[in-house]
Amino acid sequence: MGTELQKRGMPAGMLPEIYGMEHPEIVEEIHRAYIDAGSRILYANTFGANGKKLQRSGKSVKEVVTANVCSARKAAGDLCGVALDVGPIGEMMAPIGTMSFEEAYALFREIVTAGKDAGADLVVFETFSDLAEIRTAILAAKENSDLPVFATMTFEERGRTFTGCMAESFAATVSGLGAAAIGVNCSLGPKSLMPIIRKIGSITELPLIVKANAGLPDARDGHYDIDAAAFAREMSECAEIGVRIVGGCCGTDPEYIRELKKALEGKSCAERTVRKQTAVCSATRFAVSGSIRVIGERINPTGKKRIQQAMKDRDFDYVLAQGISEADAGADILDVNVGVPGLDEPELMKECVQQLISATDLPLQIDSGNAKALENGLRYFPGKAIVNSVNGEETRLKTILPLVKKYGAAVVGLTIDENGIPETAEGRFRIAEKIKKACLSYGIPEEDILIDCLTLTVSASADSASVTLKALRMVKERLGLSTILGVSNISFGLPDREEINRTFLTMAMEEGLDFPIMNPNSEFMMDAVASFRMLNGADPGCENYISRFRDREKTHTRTSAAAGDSKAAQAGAAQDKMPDKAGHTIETAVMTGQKSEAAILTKNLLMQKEALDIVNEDLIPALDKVGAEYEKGIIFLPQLLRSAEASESAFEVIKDYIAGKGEQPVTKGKIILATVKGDIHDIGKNIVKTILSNYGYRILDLGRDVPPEKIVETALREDVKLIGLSALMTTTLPSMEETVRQLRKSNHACRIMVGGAVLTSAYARSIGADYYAKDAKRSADIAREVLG
Amino acid sequence: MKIKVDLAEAYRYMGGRGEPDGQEKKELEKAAEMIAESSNPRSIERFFSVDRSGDGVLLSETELLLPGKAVRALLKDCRECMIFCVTIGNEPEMLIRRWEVENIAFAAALDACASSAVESLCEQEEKKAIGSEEVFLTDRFSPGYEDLPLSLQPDFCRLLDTGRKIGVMVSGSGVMIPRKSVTALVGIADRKQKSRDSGCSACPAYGSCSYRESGVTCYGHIL
Repeated sequence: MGTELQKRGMPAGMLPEIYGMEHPEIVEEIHRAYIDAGSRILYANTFGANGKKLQRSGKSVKEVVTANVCSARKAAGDLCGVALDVGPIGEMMAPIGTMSFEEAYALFREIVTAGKDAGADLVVFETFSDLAEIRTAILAAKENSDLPVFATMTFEERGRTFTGCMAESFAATVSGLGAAAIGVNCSLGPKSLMPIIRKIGSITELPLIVKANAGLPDARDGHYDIDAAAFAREMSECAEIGVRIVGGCCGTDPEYIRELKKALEGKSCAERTVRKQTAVCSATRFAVSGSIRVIGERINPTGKKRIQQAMKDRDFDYVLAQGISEADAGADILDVNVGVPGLDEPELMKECVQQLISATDLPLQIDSGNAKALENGLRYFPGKAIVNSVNGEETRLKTILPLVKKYGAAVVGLTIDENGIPETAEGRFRIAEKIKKACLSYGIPEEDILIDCLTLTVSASADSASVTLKALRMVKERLGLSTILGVSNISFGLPDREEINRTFLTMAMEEGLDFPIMNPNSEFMMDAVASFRMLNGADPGCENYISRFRDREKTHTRTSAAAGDSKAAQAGAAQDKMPDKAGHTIETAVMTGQKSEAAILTKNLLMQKEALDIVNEDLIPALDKVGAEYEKGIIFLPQLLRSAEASESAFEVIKDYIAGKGEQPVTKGKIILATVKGDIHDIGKNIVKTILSNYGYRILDLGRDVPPEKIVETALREDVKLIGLSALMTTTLPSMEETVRQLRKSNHACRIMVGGAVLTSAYARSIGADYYAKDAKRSADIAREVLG
Repeated sequence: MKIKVDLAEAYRYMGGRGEPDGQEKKELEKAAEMIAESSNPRSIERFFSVDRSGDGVLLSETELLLPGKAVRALLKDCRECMIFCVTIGNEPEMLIRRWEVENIAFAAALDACASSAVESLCEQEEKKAIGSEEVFLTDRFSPGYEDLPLSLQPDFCRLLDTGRKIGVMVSGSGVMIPRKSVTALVGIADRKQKSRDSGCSACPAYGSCSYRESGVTCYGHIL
């Protein structure tokens, strides 16, 4: 449309949507040319008609959309469908960029509503490269209109979008959201798009769309390299693949459509067979059943004091660290449970999911008994998640299954109902049957159902294991469903639990367990998974097995599951002995940046000394020494950071110890840290965070792109006396100024320190800050001055 | 385009002085490897005729005026210029964020290597300005240098259609997403161009630079 408008006189640099509104007769003429050439769906001239892109035009979304949809309607008459064409907003969503879900949703809702009111027949979201964004768009469309939704993304030759989204993930995620058709558009010519649409077509049953470019543009003159006839020839492959909806994107014109129609005349569209498999995903990670998929269980506060404390403190760094270490240990999916009594679970789930997706790309399993928390988890996870869980109870099924259906998630069904857990395999099987029936009645496909036959302890009932295993086998053979199971209950009350757990795990995998829920940081347990995969033929050449075990020292000690619980203990787990370097203290370990040594020394010292004394007499003086050397220019930032890491691992040991004893955590006062609104640079702020938390301050890290209101609100609510603001761009300094202004206005008694590469002490003074922190060391000095 | 990381340059970017020691060097090498592996380098360029007849510099085929003295001086021998944008993509950023949680020292190394990688992409991209004839290139110059306003960043991106062509956007407050991206122009002249070497005075950190405080510059000169 843009090129056609330019050909007919649109000045360079003008928005096509505005030009179209001012020259409706031209737009109609273009549409008619396409109808004449054979088009049956017209994309209205509304691609960029969103609130953000129209901001400086002075025109409203409603008037621009209405005018352009009407032009299409006029041309179409009864002959063609008119689609509201919606492109990406033009800004990236968090965590990559700064646009929030709410902001994006509102912009999409605005344009969809305008299109619906103007009489569009359907909505097309095209040229998206971010899965989170197209997902938000589809939700906005489905929740605010009844119009059918088409969704196409744009891919690079490598088979991923610019943001790394895989074709498989796009297919799996969007399929479940209720789109009417799915496919690819733009970026590439037809030939290059075929492998990508094939991949999409192998995963989703939805009708497929291919809207290709006329090849690639020349860098100098912009001319596209495939003519109409060649384009049509290349597009003929669509019929064989089973693509129902075809069109041309950049570089094409009505002639291309004419040739395309000719080339496809009389050809029948092939039937497609889609392999039914259980799949969950994030944009960049696709986990499909077929080989054992491990679900990491450690993000769960039940019975775990340290992580419970972290959730209470909103110390997401700790939660993220658990998730990352699970991912590193080979987990394929992460279970997320934030059920801490007394906390706002739905809010916490939302925040936890948003934090997790910023640091790990593993698909998530949303684990909650609270329907609102489940919904938040599903809404804010930009991929296809698993809901944990429903069971045989009617009310639970009625409440949760609609959510599962709406967000296209997979769902875990527990074989328990209002009468409890059946004692026989048949009893559990019957509940599984009931759950399957209920899911299908809501339109949830059977490959999205995971049955959990539940594990009871064998010490209480001798046939616990065989009942679970038999039920598992029955579910697999007679219901054809995927299975999920947490194994560790089996050994409750018995010695050497890991031995039992591992044997039971292996037995279950043999009976057909697809998704074990376990602690991936237990090397012993993960070894069983690795062996099983290899023995089951899922490890060609035994490559993974060999690389896992080749260099392993065959000792008879195993890494116990508990050692996986803290970052520091993990580092030091294998060597719980006194270091053989004479005279090494925590101080030297910190000063030389020896992480694991610092942790071991601290662990050992805790047997002789109080935790608080270690912090005040060993850790903090060490940090002070490091800081002094940094100030004098004896060491520089890399060394400072290494020392901070060592100190942090020592501090982790202390935090674990204190949490384990149920005591109050060490804190010398609270500090808010935030990168101001509009700014996303935060490595400097995070360095300051590390240093300050090593000194024992409790850091409330509000993240990046933080609005002034949120900083003020947190300062008041938590009564924080020291606030640190960071900005790394001259363009975001006004946000910093505004934040200071609002803090002063609130009359909250506090000190403000500011930092960032573009700041100077003069500027800090001019905006009313109390301190200018030129580096992390200075921020520690300021904290000491203000908080002690 | 190939990702190249200059380890010495990366070490400086992360605030290091002198030579990295054994362990630091190993970490930097590992970081460089990870950045190279996770990057998805992309670039786009367009050529424009340069019109210096009025105030500032006009890019003839567009309505874009480049204001200020610096760019005028830079392009004094040029009839043509190339505007470009390069990026290493989003994946390295996810990697950096993930490492900030686990080990901030390593995250700083990754961040520094990523910056160095983008610089190397710029150097490779510049070469595209050299066509078949013999020409000479000016220094690379970006919005935000000297008196060329940073606010031109979205205009450069719009001209190049970076959003659609290479997935680079500018946020409302002017941050480029992905963060490790650069837009710049380079002038194409028919005679050899002197390197501008504006030195420290052009840098926004001039007044508070910790390098200068200790008698060196961030690019390795001794004051």
